[in-house]
Amino acid sequence: MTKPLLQVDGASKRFCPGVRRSLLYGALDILAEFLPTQRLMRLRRGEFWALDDVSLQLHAGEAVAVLGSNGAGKSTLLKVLAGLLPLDRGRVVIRGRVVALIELGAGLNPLLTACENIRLAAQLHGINRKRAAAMVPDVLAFAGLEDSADTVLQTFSTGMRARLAFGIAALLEADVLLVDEVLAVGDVAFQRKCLTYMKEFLARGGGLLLVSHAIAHVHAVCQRGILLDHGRVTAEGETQAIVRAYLAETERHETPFAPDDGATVAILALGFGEVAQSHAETGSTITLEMEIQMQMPDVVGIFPGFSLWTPDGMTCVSSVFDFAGRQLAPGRSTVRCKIDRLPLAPGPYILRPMIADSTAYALLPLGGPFGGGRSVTVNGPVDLATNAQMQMAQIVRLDSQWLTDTP
Amino acid sequence: MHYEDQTGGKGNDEVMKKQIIYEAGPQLRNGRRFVHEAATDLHQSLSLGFTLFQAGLQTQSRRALLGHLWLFIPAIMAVTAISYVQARGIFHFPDIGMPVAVFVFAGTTLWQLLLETLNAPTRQLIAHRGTVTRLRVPHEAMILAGVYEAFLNAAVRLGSLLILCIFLRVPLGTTTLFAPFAAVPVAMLGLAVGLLFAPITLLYEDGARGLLLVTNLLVFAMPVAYPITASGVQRFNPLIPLLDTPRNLLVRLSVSNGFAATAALAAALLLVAWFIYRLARPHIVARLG
Repeated sequence: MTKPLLQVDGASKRFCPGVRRSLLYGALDILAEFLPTQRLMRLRRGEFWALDDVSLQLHAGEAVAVLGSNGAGKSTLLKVLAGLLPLDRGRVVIRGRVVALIELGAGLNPLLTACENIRLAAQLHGINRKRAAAMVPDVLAFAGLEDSADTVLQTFSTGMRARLAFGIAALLEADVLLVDEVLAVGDVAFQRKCLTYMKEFLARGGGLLLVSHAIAHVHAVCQRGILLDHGRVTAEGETQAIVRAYLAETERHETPFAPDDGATVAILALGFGEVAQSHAETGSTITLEMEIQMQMPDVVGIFPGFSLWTPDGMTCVSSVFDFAGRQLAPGRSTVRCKIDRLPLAPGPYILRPMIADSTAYALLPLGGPFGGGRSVTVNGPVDLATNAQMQMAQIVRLDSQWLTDTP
Repeated sequence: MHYEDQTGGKGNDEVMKKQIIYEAGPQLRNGRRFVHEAATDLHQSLSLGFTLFQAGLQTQSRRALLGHLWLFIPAIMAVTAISYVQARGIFHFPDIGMPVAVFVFAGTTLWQLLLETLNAPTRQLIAHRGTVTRLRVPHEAMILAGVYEAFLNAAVRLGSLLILCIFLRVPLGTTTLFAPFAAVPVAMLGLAVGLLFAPITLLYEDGARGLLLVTNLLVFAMPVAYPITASGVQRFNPLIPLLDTPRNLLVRLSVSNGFAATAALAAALLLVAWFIYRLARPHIVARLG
């Protein structure tokens, strides 16, 4: 086993949110530099640990995702690794050249042209004058900005600036790339290009640390991940597991689909089978069930339904509605729906109840503990094929038959 | 806090890779590493600073209608103003061995050089705040870009001053050639004081305001617009030899007493100030970002 490209041991960093106090501590830290003895680092008044005993290894050809909600310490970690913030405890060893994309556009001057900016930014990254000048055409080609080479950056769109900045970073020949939430600004074609670049970069033996809230990007690039919460590493492992832990955490933190308790229709129970389970087997026959409480008599009739979503709640995998319509009496009633050979790939999903009114087909706001849906898991056989599907974050399993060629 | 060194690769085809280590703890624990790093950064900054300086000129001229002409406009204005003052005989000067206009113009040029180098660290680092808080770059490059700019401005003013000398028929000689070099210690002193105060002025705005107030008052105690003899308290004023010498050399007068010693002192102070700034640097970046 070769040595890791990046090794972090017990990295800790204090942070003070108050501006005045923070500046005072800064001044004290400067004075402390003149007493070259190691001191015990304790929290001072008003401070907290932005990073608390974080350890991490990154090997050649490996991409590690850093997940966590806002303020968990992801950017602080990257800034420490980029050598911008001094550590309060611990040690970081990096073998090779580090390029940090903390924020796209750092070091770019809006009043210089694209060409001039490439030369300047490359030199800021420690490339010498001659090589910086030689890089210009390659960067322009990568960013697809050949036509705007002599245009002042001020007139560029945000996406064009992002492309230029990423193009510069891509051609710096880094060994370790630290990327902080920067891909979201480019257009889809450019995002794809960046992802392809990252995979090539990994294949060449680079190491990548990716901070992103775009779960699709994380899945596409990273094999492993760490989950940060209040500066601590709370989980570490395969991307799929870390993403799941992260999404579970966001649910606990935010409850994004807060049920409306004033609603006339409330969902009291929701899940698979009669006991409203949260687990089902892929390929098996399942029953979706919800218990509805109606406050008022229903005169026009409703269409009950279920929808299944990806765990980030952004993509609807499928929905089913009972378009025959039902008239529910005031009080509690249960709606059931059978699905043969559940075609979902193993993994986490969100099951949401839906009720549409039968005249306008409009969805009604739902209350109750499950009005906003719940997390469910589809289990599958423990084998290599399933494992591969989970790594690709596959959603659906189609029934298929392989045909043989007849000569 | 950190160091970089070269370590050999283990495998045959593995290239020599730079190893970077960041550690908690005071930087002075390893003094040798600290000095080595400072030297590396300075070396890189010489050319990077020049690129930044060029970029700065480029952007300034793009934003201004008159472009690079702005380099000359302040000097032309100053020449006109001083000629007017002299023509009207507003000041009564003792015999100083050169026309009053030349004396004042040279004095202001040197004082401007001092002020610009003094303000270079704070001004440049605030201007490049977005870069220094997001990229690990040697701050010396930004500061040097400011120093280069101060030297360019001084050179332009010197050019105007020489034209003024020819216009006023002031006899110039071989010593005139040494005048620009004799002005370097002024810049070193300015930069040294600027660097010493940079940790304070970068963290607190009060620092910059206080410094401006002090320099505005201090100009009256300096031989800028009128001559000052080095007696009494003024014997310890380092700026008397530093300002008088380049000005005197311009018109073939002698080197002032204590010039060499003061220049050496300025250089030493600059070195100390630079090391102090480097100690403060990571903490400044942390609080600026």
